[in-house]
Amino acid sequence: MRSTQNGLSRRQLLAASLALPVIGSLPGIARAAGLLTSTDFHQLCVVLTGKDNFNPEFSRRILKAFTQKDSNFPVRANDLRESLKAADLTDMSNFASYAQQNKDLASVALSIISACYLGYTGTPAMDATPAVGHPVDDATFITYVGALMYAPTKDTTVIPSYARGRTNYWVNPPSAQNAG
Amino acid sequence: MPRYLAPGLGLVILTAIPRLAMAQASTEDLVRQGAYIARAADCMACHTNPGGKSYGGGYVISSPLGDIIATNISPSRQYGIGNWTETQFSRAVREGIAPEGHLYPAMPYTAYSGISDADIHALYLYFTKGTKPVDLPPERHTALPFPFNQRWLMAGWNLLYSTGKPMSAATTAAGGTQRGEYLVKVLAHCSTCHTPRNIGMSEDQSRFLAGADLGGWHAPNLTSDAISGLGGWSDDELKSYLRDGAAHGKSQAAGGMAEAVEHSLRHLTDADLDAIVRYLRTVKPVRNPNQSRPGFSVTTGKPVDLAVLDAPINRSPDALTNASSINGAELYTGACASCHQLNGQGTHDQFYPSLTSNTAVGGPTAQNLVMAILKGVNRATNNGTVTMPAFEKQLNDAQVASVANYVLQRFGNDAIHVNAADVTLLKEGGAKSFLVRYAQIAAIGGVSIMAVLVFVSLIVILYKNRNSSKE
Amino acid sequence: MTIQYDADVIVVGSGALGSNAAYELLKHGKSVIVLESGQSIPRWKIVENFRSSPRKGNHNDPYPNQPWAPTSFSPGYIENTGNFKFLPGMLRLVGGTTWHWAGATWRFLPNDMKLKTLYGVGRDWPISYEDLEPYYGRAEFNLGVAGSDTQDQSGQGSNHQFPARSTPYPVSPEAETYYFQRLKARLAPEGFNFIHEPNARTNQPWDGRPGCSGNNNCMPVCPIGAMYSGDVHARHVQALGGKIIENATVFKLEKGPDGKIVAAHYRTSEHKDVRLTARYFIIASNGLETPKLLLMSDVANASDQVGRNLMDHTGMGLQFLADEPLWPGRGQVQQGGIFNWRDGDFRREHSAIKHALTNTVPNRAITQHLLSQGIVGPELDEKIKDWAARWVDISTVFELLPSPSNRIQPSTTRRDALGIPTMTIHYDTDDYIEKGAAVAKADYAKFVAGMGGTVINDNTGWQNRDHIMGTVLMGDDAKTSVVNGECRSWDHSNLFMATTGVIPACGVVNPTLAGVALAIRSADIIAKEV
Repeated sequence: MRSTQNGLSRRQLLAASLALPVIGSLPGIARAAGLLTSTDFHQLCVVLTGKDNFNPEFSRRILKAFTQKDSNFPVRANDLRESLKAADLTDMSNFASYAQQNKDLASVALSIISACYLGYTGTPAMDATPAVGHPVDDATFITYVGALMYAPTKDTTVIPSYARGRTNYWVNPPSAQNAG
Repeated sequence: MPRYLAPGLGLVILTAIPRLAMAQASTEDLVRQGAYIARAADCMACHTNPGGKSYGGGYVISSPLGDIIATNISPSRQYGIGNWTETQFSRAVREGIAPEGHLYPAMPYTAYSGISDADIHALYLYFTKGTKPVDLPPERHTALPFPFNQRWLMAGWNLLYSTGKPMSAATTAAGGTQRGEYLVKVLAHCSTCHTPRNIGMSEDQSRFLAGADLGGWHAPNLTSDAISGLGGWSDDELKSYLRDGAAHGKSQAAGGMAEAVEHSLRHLTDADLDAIVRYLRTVKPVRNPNQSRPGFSVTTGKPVDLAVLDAPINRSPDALTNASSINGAELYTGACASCHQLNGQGTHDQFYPSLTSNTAVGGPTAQNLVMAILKGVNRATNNGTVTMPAFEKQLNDAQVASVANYVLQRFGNDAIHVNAADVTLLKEGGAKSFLVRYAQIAAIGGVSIMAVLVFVSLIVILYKNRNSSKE
Repeated sequence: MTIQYDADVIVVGSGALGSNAAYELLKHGKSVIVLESGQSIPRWKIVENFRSSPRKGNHNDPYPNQPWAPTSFSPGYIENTGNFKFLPGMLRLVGGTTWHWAGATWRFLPNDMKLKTLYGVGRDWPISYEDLEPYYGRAEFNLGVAGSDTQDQSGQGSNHQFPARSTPYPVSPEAETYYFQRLKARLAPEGFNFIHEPNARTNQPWDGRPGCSGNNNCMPVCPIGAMYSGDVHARHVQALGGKIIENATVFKLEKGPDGKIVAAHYRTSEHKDVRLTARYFIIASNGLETPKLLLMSDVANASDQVGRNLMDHTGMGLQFLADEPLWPGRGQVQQGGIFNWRDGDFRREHSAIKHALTNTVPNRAITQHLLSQGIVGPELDEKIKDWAARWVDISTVFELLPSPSNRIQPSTTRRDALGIPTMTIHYDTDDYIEKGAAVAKADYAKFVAGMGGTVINDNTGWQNRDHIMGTVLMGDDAKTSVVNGECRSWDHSNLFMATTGVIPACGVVNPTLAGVALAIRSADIIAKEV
């Protein structure tokens, strides 16, 4: 809403909100805005995971979470994007050799992949419910059912809390006939 | 043993059995036949209190006027029907007149009046010889206030409406459509719930099996109409529904129908289920003028962005505690999707059914959807028990309306909208008829034919409510 | 003289034990008030809180941590001074901590209750298995427990039912998971005795609950309510006319001149203090909060044993990959385990041991492990799929001995938002379980070898198991125990404890069922006196 007070047109505001819903409200906007849009970041997530059906809203949540923790994150993500392009890395099967040569950016890549697969960013404190300002826990929710770690087992087990079938279905191993 | 010896041996054994033993075997057969008829007529539904002894009575049918208590029909001489003659038994079942006086038509004797003489004989033998006496005094008796305690008033109603005649044994024994008609009209008394009532609270035969409301639920149209009735169902689907209470891609039994499946229909022979299906095919189609497509015809849900259903929430302690949301999508995700899944398609095996292709969601009324949310589903089948928890203690009426609307919008008949007041009304048993609302005024006005009508309508409504009054 | 009381009985805490005690008293026609520091939350909301949590491994995270009702995980609420960080996941809401458990409902063995007599270590219970048996049956009925009526649950391999029962399990056992079947098929021939775990996850409709269909989320919340939680009987309490007062944190029990307890004082979330009187009092606020309340109130502690002898089934774990697909994650989160070390003369030397087969969907643990190794791309997906099929997770628990120095006390320096002291806990592990750990690790090697396995982690270190016992232990001597065999305070004849804290010898089985059975027994005793 600050932007409207600064006299941006509705059209400009709309464009900004589509491309930069997160960064627009955060410090570092001037530098980041010119480098990485949320669409760019989503494409980066797609490349890093190899999943072109990854929900763009989850990418936006990841970008927001990382940027809140580190205002320089969009810059590093953009560096990673440029670097992957330069290395012509389109297939993640070759990531290991890229990582050896680009250790710093590879860690950024791994943190993004981790968020897409696990469905959260940061480090949850497993034994302490965080209060406001709790120092150890910086975990942020991204997605549950969209977490990519569940996709490989969708035909065999459940995403916990969702049912798979009738009581006692588990007496048998999964099979093609009963679809699990 | 050489094969040719077998017939001769059989003959020797048969001739060796004394006449007395033959007679006993025949009684046993009749008792077995009577047990089957008792199943088909679902006597247990009312005359056995859940958790109580078989046919010991005590089942309570609640009403604004007082409770009607089903009686002990076990062969107890003191508390049951152990002293009844077969003639007395026959009059009670087929005419509604017990040795002690008139029965309330909570007992469906208008349907049972068609029971054949042979079957009533078998039924009598079953109840007197095939069941165990329950020698326990009733905890409660039916005690309605005046004038509703004047059971003789029933005579007037019986004159008007109880016109059935026993069918001949030959007709009822035959297979095929006629046997089906006997099962549907007489033993299973389907029309008691599925046929709408006229102003005198008797069944409107011009709309036979065209569907009716009871206790908040809607007993659907069973006519052969392709849109409003069962015309679009395959024989296998109908049979599966009768036997298991579920036809994938069509509907699932809940409420009173779940009880009918559990206590009665699932115990019928395959031949009898086939006969019912065959007969239902012949029932004159009745179309609901407000319905243009079958309730199961919504086969795909509207697309949603998964991220909306999988969103972060405020994690402050107050927010984690606050469950007052009336956001239908949020309530659906938390309360329904664990079983019916986020996409509403249920589980692969349809143990938890799809909400699309489902008459409770796509049909012309949302009553059964709302009632299933409120009361849950509990249906024992020959293949395990099906349960949906009741949500009436977890969700308030506005929340039930919100989640029902979300389901209707996304998976079914999006032309229907439910509000909290609708939910409250269904919870209380649905809309009351004119006659019930003005019952007391009429009663005060004196014993006229009108008062009798009011009285009997109440009784019929009580009967219809019996399945919903169970806690 | 006529004294007016606010209720016949005040119950502090609305968890499984408190609610069952209150329910039984109401059935006896007594008036009951239940004081609960937390609030009531419907299941659908807790499910939402869980799914949207970024810390799925923290079973307290879907539950509120209110300033006036801090859970055990509230930062700084528990201060530890021993060699082990004692931090069980206790909740504060209507229904209590059984909102997240796995529904394990074992009976203690007759020998568990005679530990000192038979093996010369620890303590004996002041009551026998036979004394408790009928109440076990009633507790199992209330909870809708599914169990086997044919197995020897002592794990000693006999072919008949043990321990003896006067009533069958109310619900027959669920089908064995394929995972359990395969582990049993390959390890039983090595001499390991596999026992089905009786559990309060009904698999057929029971008391308004649906049958379990394997949503695999017993902890932190069963999404469909098939698994028993204390909220079931909290609702029954209200249906029978009992009163549950929420946001009511009891901070003081008031002694009368005759040595009886006369009132409970609670503080509301608005910092308002209220005094309620009753003829009898049941303290059912878990094994940590109960002794804390007694110590703060300076009651029931003539023996100086209140808060001491703190025991958990302190445990450890093993994760490995088998050489064949076992498909863990299908069905409930646990189903039973290996019980060879449940009882025997070895208990003179080292603790009893239970190896439970954990059957949780393993994707998160696996993916975290693979990502930590830098595995990404198609290989990551393939490995998740392959490992998830072959993952074996064993959760082992040990029998602790009561030690007076292992204790919980109200903090002398820190207070919560209501001005009530927080907790200080001292908990040291001892040689008895260290010796047990060596035995368990030898078993681990056999499990891995027997399954052609590859170890992922066989050295987890000691872990919390959230089974709090011993802190208000029962005994037959007022000088050395807090309550008698009725769970009645030796010092105050109208004060009872309904908590697993009364258990003086802890075996290796989850104590909640025994707690409920004892609570029902106490309710029967109180009902005769009120």
